[in-house]
Amino acid sequence: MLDRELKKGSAELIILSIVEKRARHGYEISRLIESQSGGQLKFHIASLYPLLYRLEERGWLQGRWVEKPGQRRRRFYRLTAEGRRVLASQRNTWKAFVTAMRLITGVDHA
Amino acid sequence: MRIYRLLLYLYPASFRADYAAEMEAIFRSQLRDARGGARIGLWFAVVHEVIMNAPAVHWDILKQDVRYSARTLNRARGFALTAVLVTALGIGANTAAFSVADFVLLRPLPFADPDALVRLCEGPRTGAGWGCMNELSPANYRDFKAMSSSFESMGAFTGAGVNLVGVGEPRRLEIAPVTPEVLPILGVSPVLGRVFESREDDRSAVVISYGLWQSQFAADASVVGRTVRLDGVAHTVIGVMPRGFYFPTRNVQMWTALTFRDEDYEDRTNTYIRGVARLKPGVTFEQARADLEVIAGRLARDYPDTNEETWISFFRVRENMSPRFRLMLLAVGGASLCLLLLTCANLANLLLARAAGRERELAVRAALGAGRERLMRQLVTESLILTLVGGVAGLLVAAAGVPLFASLVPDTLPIATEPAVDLRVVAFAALFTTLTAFGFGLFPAIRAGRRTAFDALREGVRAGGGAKQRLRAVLVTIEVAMSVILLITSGLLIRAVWRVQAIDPGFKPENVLIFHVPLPRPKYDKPLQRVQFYDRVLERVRTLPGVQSAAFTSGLPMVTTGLITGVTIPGREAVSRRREGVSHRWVTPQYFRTMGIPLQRGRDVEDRDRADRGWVAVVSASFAERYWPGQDPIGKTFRHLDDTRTVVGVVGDIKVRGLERTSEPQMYLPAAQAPDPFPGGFDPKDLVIRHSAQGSALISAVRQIVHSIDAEQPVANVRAMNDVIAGETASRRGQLQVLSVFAVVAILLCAVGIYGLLAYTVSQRSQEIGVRLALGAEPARVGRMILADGMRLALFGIVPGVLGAYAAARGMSALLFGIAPSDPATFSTAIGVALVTVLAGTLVPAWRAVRLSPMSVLRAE
Repeated sequence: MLDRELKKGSAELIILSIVEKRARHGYEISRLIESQSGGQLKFHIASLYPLLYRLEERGWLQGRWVEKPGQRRRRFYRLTAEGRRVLASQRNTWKAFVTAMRLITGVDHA
Repeated sequence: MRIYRLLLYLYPASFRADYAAEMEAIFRSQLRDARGGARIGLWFAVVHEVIMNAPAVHWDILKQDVRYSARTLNRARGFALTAVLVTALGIGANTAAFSVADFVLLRPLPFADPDALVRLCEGPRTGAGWGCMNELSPANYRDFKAMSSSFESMGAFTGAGVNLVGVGEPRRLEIAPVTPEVLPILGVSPVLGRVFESREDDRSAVVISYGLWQSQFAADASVVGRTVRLDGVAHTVIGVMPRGFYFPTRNVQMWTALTFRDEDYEDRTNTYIRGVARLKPGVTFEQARADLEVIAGRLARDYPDTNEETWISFFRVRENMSPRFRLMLLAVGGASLCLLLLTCANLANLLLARAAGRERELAVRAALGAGRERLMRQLVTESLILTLVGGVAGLLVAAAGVPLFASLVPDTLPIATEPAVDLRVVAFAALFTTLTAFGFGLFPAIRAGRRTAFDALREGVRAGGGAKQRLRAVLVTIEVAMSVILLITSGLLIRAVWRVQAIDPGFKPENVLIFHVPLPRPKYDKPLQRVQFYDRVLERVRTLPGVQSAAFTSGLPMVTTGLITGVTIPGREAVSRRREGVSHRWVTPQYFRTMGIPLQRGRDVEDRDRADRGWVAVVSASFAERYWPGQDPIGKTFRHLDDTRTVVGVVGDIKVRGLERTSEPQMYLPAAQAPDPFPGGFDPKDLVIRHSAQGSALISAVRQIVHSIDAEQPVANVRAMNDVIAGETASRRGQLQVLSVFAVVAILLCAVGIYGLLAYTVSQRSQEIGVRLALGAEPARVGRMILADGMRLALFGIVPGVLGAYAAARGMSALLFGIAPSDPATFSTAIGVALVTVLAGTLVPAWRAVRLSPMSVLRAE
């Protein structure tokens, strides 16, 4: 399990990336995070949903209720225009940060 | 799963509305997949995560609400400012009033275990009066101390004044000689040095106050061991008491050693000391009192000549203030509660009015999906912001207002003059106001939740049912009632102050300057030395330009209230001075002329009344009436101390003890005819000068004259006699100022409240009024209708207000100085003011109603 502080600092970037390509619902987002990180990152639903709530209030995500026959009502999230801008900006920040870390500590990234 | 659902309740309702179902479903499937120990791990993780994350969601929502509220309040600035002002007044006034009341009445005195500290004096058999009625004699003190088993320790003290010389300017100091037990009884340790012990060399030791150490010794850290001269006698400083320590009152700056010689115990009527003691653990105040009363009874039996009428004054140190002071503070406290109630009613009204205006907005938001809980949260946040800002403003009001209450702090208690703002009081007033804001701020949200959004949207602004209107009307009547109470009580107190101020003191205080020039012993032990001093000073003072007359006296009226003695009339049975006391003063010639005391018969004290001539006296009219009723007192004789005196003059009575108290008959004896030896306490020590026009130039001239005759003689407490008289009513005027401010604020808030309500009523009924006018109703009739609404409100408020005011007036009748609690003039004036206020608040809405154009109203629908 990666350090709690690291997870907190990157949570927004992670979620915005996951929903970049298409709208997803909460549980799907949490499973994708776990699978795409090779099990290194796990967001418990109790902490994920408050984060989604916050991102939606900020206007970076837009939520929509979808009810399919035979399924319970689910809220799907997609990126807004503002969210895309924030995602691009945060990606650049992380790239610069990672480069700096590599130079200082000699850590290679995969 | 029920447990999980309960856990989710930690999140806000609006969050749960969106996510609870999904979170529950996911958790259910996770729980299904987990086995054995993993299930427990899952539960632990869930609980941990929920507890860590729920507060963050609440915080996010709060931040949003605060931002939103700030925007909406900014749009409604008038409302916000009014609400903040009203809250500030309510909280501020209450905080100030109760801080002072708490400081004087409730807060423990700054001593160790102050509730166990008691004072002991002699007192009348009837037990009447408050505080120290008569001082103790050393003999009685010794017996009380030896025979009582109720006290851990008992000591005695007295008061004196000395001239401090050799440290800065010669200065007059108020000191308290104390026995070694006294300071340890109080349980406060000195900041420097030590307090008295029963040592021989402590007889010339002094302990100084923190204030004196700062002002006279420049906070010199090596002050312990320094020598000071008090009345010419060398003393050594052995200790400095801490800041905030006062005993027995805040005027005392220094404590010296009180010792008794064998001869001090001989005369049981030689009363000049007071006792202070600490109750033994487990002994109650009543038990100690009973114990002392038994001892007093025994002493009365053993020494009937001296102790037959000697009983005890026994009270807690905390209670040493007149019942009138306590009543004053309670009255001010009651008034501020009225004001608090009024401001809360006003605040509630404001919030309800605002709620009515926002119904549509809230309905729209509800229709767009905002949950009821979310709306309520936002409204509560808005109310809390208002009360928070109002509360802070209220603290500022309180801090500014507390000094106004300074004159309500009695100087007979060992506390400082300046009470500080008490945070518990702030908390109380803030809580009350917050609850009001909370309750009335939530109103629209509760209503919004009850009706469907569609109904609200359809009915539009006209919605606003009878219940809310009635509630607002009730609130306004509460405001009127509170205003009436405040108006009447301040009116009664104003009249009482006027009555006291109108009392004739018996002398003419205008243009009289007073100087305290006490001659120290043993330097001025001989009567001749003292008389020479007076003669020389007066001779030169009387030649100063602007001086009409000047004299010395042993005690000014209202400044020195005691000095009671007894006289014996030949042929009349001797009566103890406790039953028939006479106020006596030693004066130089021109005293009556200087003070403006009318000479009714005979003559003044004159220069020829010297020690080697016949000993004379000038008496007051009531003195003559008491001892020689219906006869001419001139030429009559009486015995005082061991001397026979002849009455040579009769003057008018004066209010020695104060404007509001009864004074004993007065007797004036020539300073040159004082017996030798003569106790220093009775020496003439106050110089009075009647002057024309500007007195301020005289002050330095007088100082110079005294200085040139005796360079070590301080001149202290220079004042105008008028200021002394004004001081008599200072606390009353202080209370009055406070109550008047309350009353004015109340009336203004009342007017605003009525205006707000009726303006709203008019706008609510504008359609109805428009129809009436269109159908031919006279505009004046419409106006009268609105006026009648206002007057009805007024009456519903005035009646309970009058009843409440009467009850309050009866409760404080002791303060009213003879004004009847039901004084018709005050009541009718107050009711008149209330009616005029209501009228003022009603006029504009009524005028608007009259001016309504039926066409524009109907078109707007």
